[in-house]
Parts: sequence; structure tokens; C-alpha cells
Amino acid sequence: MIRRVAITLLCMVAVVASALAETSFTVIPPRTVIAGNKFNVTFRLKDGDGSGLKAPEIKGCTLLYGPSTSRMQNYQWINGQASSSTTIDYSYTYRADNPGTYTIDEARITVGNRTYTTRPETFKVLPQDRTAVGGGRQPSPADEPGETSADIPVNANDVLVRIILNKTRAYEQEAIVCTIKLYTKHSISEFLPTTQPSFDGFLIDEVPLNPSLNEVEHYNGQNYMTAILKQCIIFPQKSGKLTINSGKYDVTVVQYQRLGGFWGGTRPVERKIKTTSNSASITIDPLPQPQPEGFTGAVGRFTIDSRLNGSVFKTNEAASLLYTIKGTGNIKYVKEPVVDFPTEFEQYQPQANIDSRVTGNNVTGTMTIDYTFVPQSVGNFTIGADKFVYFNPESREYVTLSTPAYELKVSQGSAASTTVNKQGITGKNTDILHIKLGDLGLSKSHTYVYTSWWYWPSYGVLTLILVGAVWLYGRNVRRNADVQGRRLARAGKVARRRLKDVRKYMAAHDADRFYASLLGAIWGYLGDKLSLPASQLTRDNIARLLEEYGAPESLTSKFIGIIDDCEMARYSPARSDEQISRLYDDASSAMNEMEGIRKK
Amino acid sequence: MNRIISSLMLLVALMASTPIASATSTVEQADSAYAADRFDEAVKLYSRAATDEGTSSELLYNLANSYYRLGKPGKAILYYERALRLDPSNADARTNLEFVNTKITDEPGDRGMFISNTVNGFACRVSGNVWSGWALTFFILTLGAVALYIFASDVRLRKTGFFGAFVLFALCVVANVFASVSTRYQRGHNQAIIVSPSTLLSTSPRTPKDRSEEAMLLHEGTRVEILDSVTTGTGDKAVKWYDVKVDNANRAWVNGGDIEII
Repeated sequence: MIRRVAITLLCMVAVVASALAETSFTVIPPRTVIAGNKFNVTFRLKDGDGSGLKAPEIKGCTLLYGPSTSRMQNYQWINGQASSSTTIDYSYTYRADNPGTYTIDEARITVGNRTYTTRPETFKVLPQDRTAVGGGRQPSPADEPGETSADIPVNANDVLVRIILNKTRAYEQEAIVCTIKLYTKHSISEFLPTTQPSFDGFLIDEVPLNPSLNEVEHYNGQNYMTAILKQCIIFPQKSGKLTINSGKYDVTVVQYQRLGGFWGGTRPVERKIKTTSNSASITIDPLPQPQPEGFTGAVGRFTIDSRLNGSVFKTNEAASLLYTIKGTGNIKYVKEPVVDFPTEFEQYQPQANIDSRVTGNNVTGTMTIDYTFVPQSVGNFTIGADKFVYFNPESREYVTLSTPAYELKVSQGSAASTTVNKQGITGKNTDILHIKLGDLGLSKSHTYVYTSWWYWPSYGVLTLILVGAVWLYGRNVRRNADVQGRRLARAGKVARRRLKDVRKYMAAHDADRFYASLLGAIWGYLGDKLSLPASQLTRDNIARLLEEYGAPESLTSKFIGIIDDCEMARYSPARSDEQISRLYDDASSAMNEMEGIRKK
Repeated sequence: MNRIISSLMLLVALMASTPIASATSTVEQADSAYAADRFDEAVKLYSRAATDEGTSSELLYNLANSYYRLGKPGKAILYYERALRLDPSNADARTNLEFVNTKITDEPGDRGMFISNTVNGFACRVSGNVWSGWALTFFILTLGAVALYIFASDVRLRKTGFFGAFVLFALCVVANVFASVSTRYQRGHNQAIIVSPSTLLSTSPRTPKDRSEEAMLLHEGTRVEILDSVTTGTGDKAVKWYDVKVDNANRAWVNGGDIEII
């Protein structure tokens, strides 16, 4: 029993001790300090009873007095458990002489036998308002912005809105931080934007924040309370000089009117003023040319990854390819990559999922695209490697990432229908044909037959050949058709030539010369015809040779008769014209007949 | 062993350093450059072969392929057209030309008339020389038929010859018309291809001064028909402007630097 009580007591002591053991020693640096003003630095000791605190020296600041100690004690009962805490604040008052950044060195305190130290903290001392330096007017203490009297009018510079961009020059699609900040020297009861700044030519990603007046900033020689009204990451969509138009705001400022009298005191007075923000402009450079193939406008820094779900593929069973783009930049506006699936796969609309958030000066996120496909035929297929090209504005170059190509073997799925689907062979026709190899048959000149000089003349030549052939043929036909007539015609010609002189004498009725010339003509004719020299021309020879020549006997006797008649008539006195013309006709007909004979 | 390897390597190095170029022809080098995806080199080598050794439809076709691979569809179309001018029956060039034409930006409206397009399309698929050969053959056959009519004794043969002569002569006339059309197509220099990425056509032979003088924007690869030309400026500043017909509805002036005549 005693033992149990002892254990319980021990436990309780331990609990109390553990509660007491949470001693901490921290420094609370001043929030805002303006040069020339006093400020407090507080060292807070929690749950401890310290001793031997040394006032730390802050270089450049004068320690005015301290420490002033304040002590707080809390007792709490929560659900029947008691807890207590004590807080001791040691405050030192300093005066900052010059603007700048100062460090509060570590301070030490001893609690029991342990020494606690604070971490060194830095704070900024802002310069004084220029007006305050010059005229000593109303050094608006920044941590009490409302304490201005109503008799001082609200200056145009006292409340202002600025649009601040973190860059003056950027590439298309590069992230730019745009901050719209309110600067005020007065406390503000109402703030109403009448015209919001317009971001023409930008895509906007807003940073969520709660506007509150919490920072003092030194701007343009003045100290202001500031509040961030809006912060966004903007992505320029076109190149050139882009301007964010100024916004207009209705602001209600609270001023405190001092009341006269012994007790003094103030009364709040509201004043409505209008203020306009500046307009910010930025130069946007176009993305460098030439843009590599496959670039679809991603600017920033990205990594890609692709993963094929599963390793066994069957026809008519859905499978999917997961494509992940991770990175910083305009991830929200990255186009879904087009993955090169074989046409034998049925594809579905890819499901893109973008998860992005603003981090620091940019937007970071992940884009996951799920490509669902259903293989339709059995075989080995390749899902092509995909290139993802983005522009890195920091290194100013295009970066190409690629996913691997996937080889997959599709086997017959169980859900296959029993009927075979006949498929026409479809050409993909996505590229040009290959070059021709081997001998290309180069030649320096190329002839065009149609315009060559000989083309049309060759028609004429061909026509002439036909005409000539027809003419020759026609003549031959005529000749073959009338051989006798032709002979006669020719013989008549011969006879006429031979008997030319004879006819002349006949016409002149010169009988002596007629007979002589007729005889000469006959002898000459027969001599020529039978190829006999004049010396061998005798009547017997002629009869024999004519027979050999193939002349009929009647013709022979006719020739003989003419020769006889001629010789007889030459030496007889009786001669008549009648006989002369009969002899001439006989000679003529004999010669004609002779010409008509074909030599044997 | 090491020695053998090193001597082998030396041999290989020597072989590599000897100019292989002298052993293989320019065209073969160009073919291998094309096969190794060095298309700009292929273009240079094919062009050199064309100036040194003469051209052929196949060479121009290979050159066009190289240009297409280089990402210059305008030049590619230009050389396919030239290849087809040399040999209208080059089926590969026609296929590739049709393919590349689907890749370019502009899509002109109707060109020419239906009937003349049909006739020209048919005639210009075969070279003028082939049509001329057919025409001469038909003419000889016509003469043969006439001869048959004249010389044959059989009435049926003579009848065949008589009517055959008319038919064959008509064929000869048609073949001659086609030969004329095809030869004019092959020898014609009245068509051009736009080779710069894009060009703004003007309503008058000068750079458009304001919006009203801007006629239309054409992109690389579009074929235009040249109707007239004017040279403006003198010396180095001389610019030739061509009056071109893009399709039946559109006609404007284009800067000579942006086009190349087929």
C-alpha cells in the first residue's frame, strides 16, 4: 500500500517537473524601426526563474534604458488537469541612429544551473520620411498609422497602389510575378476597387492571400504601411511591349480629429479619396527561332515520364499509358502530347489531370495524361517514342526530352468474337517514297520530238512515199492491162520516125526518091531489128532471120513483097500515087506488126 | 596480338583517310548521305551531279526528296514538278508531289476549266515524245490502210482499209494534239512555286504601301501561273515582279525573289 502511494506521488512529481522543464528563452525583435526613433527589444523567458541577464549590445544603436521586467503567470484547469506557466519579459529600449540592418546578438540567461541563449535576430531600420527630416512635420509612426489629425489634408502620396512586376523583360509564356500593393500612411476603413487592372495578353494564376496591413516599407523616401492586395503569376501570351492598365480605387481613410479641452482626446473622421495605381509595362521577347519540331509552347523547366500499365496485352482489353509532365512553368497551358499509337489500336480521348500550385515566383505542378487504348489485332506493335520540347527561359534554349518507345505483344483476348473481321489493307501514307537508287540515266540534253525540225517533214516524206508507190503501181497496172496496144503504140512511133522522109517524098509526089527512101527505111529497120550489118542484108538472110526472130510467115512475105515492089517500081515507068500510098501503108503496118512481136 | 590489332587499326585509318570520293560517283555519295540522314549534304551532292553530269527525272526526284526531308516543302514541290516535266510518267514523283501538296498551308481554288483540265491531265501523264511516237505510228498505219484500200483486190479488205484509214487518221490527230499539249507542258516555263515561307502578294508590281494594296498572303509550296513580268528599279535594286494567277479567282503581283520558276 505504502509502495503504491509512493509510486503515485513520484508520478505526480514527475508530471510537475516535466511541466516546469519546458523553459524557453526567446528574443522578440522590433517589428519596424525608423531611424531616430526609440524601439524595444524584449527577451522572453518562459517557465523559469532566470538570473544574470546581460543586456546585449546592438551595434549602431544606443541603449537608452532597461531592463524593465514584467511578469505574467497563467493557471489553467483543463479537464481537471492543472497547468501553470510564467512568462518574464525583459525589455530594453534602444534608439536607432541610422537606417540599415542590425543584428541582436545572442543573449544569455541562467536558470538554475543551465544557461539559455537566444538566437541572433536581425531587423531593419528604415530611413526617416524625407518630409520629416526636412520640416519636422508629423513623423508618422509607422506602427500607429491612424494617428493623424484631420486638419492635415490627405496627400496624394499618402495612399497609393502600385503594380510591381519582378522582371522588366521576359520571354513569351515565361512566368512573371505581379504584385499589386497598397501603400498607406492612414488607417483605412474601406477599400473598393472601381476598375481592376486589366491583364491584356496574359494568362493569370492568382496566389491566394488575405490582405492585411502588416508591413512597413520605405518607398520613395517615405515609410508606408503596406498590404498586398493581389499577387498573381502571369504568363504573357504574345511578344512585344505589354502593359497592365492601371486600376482605380475608392479608399475611405480614417483620420482622428483632436478635440480641444483639457482632456484632449480624438474623434475619428472618415474621408473618401480616389486613387489610381500606376500602369506597369514589360517587354516580352518572342521565343527564339527556329523552334524545334514538336514544340508546343511549354516554357519553364519540366521533366517527363511515361509508364505503360501492365505487361500483358490482349485484343479487346483496355490498357493505358500514363504520361506525366512535372515541372515549373506554364504547366497549366501545356498541350497534351500526341502519342504515336499504332492505328490498329482503338484510342479514347486522353484524360488530362493538372495539379498545380503557386510556389514562390512560379507555378509548379504535375500534368498526368491517361491514354486509354484497346488493341484490336494480334501482333507485335510499337508505341512510338514521344518527344517533349520545352523552352528554358533561364538557359535560353530549347530542351528536348523523350519517352521511350514501347514494344508490346498483343495476344488473342478471351473476349474475341468467333467471327473473323475481314479487314481491308489500309495504307498509312504518312511519308514520301524513297529515293531512286542506281543509274539515274543522267543526260545534259533532252530532246522533244514534237518540236524537232524533222517531225512534221517526216509526215510529208511518208505521204510522198505512199503517193509514189501508188503512182508506180498504177502505171504498172495500166501497162499490164494493154500490152499489145502499148507495143503498137511504140511500134507506130518507130515506124513514123523511120518513115518520116518517106512520107515527105510521098507528099511531094517524088516517086523516085520515095521508093529509094522507102527501101532504105525498110532495110535500115530490119537491119537494126535483126542486128545485121548492111553488108549481109539480102533477101534470103532476112527471111531466115525473121523466122528465127519469131515473125509469122505472112509478115516475112509482106516485107519481102514490099521490097520486091519497091525494087520493081524503081525501074518501071508505071507508077501511080495509089501504089505509093499502098506501099507506104503496107510498110507502116508491117513495121507495126514487127514491133508487136516479142523476140524469141 | 596487340600488334596485329594496332596494324589493323592503322590500315582502317589509312583506308578512311584515302579519298573514297574518287572511287564512287557523286550520285552514289549523295545516295549514301541521304540514307545517313545528312540531307543538306545530299542536296549539295545531287545539285553538283546535276550541273556536272546532267539531269534526269530520277535525279530531280531524289533532290526533291532531300529537300522535303530538310523541311523545305516549297523546294521539294519545285523539284518534283521539274522531275515530272522531264518525265511525266515518273509515278513516284507524282505520288510524292501529291503527298507533299497535302502538307502545305494554302489550298487554292479551282484552276482552269473542267474539260481542258481533263484533257491536259490525261495528256500530261505521258511524255510528249511518247505521244509523238504514237502519232507517227498512227500515221504510218493510216497510210497502210490507204494502201490497202488502193491496192487490195478483195472488197472486204478494201472496205476495211477505207474506214480504217479514217479511224487511224483521227487517232493520229488526237495523238498529235496530246503530243502538243504534253510537250508544251514539258517545255513550258510559265509556272512557278513559292519557295519563301510566306509572301504577301500585291495588287501592283511593288511592295504593298498600305492595306488596300495587299492582295493575299501565300505560303511556301503554292503553285502559281505566270502571266506577265515587270522589272522595277535598276542595278542592285532591280526587283522583278511577276503577275501571277493563283487560281481562277485570284491574280496578283508577286516578288520574283519569293518564287522559283519550274
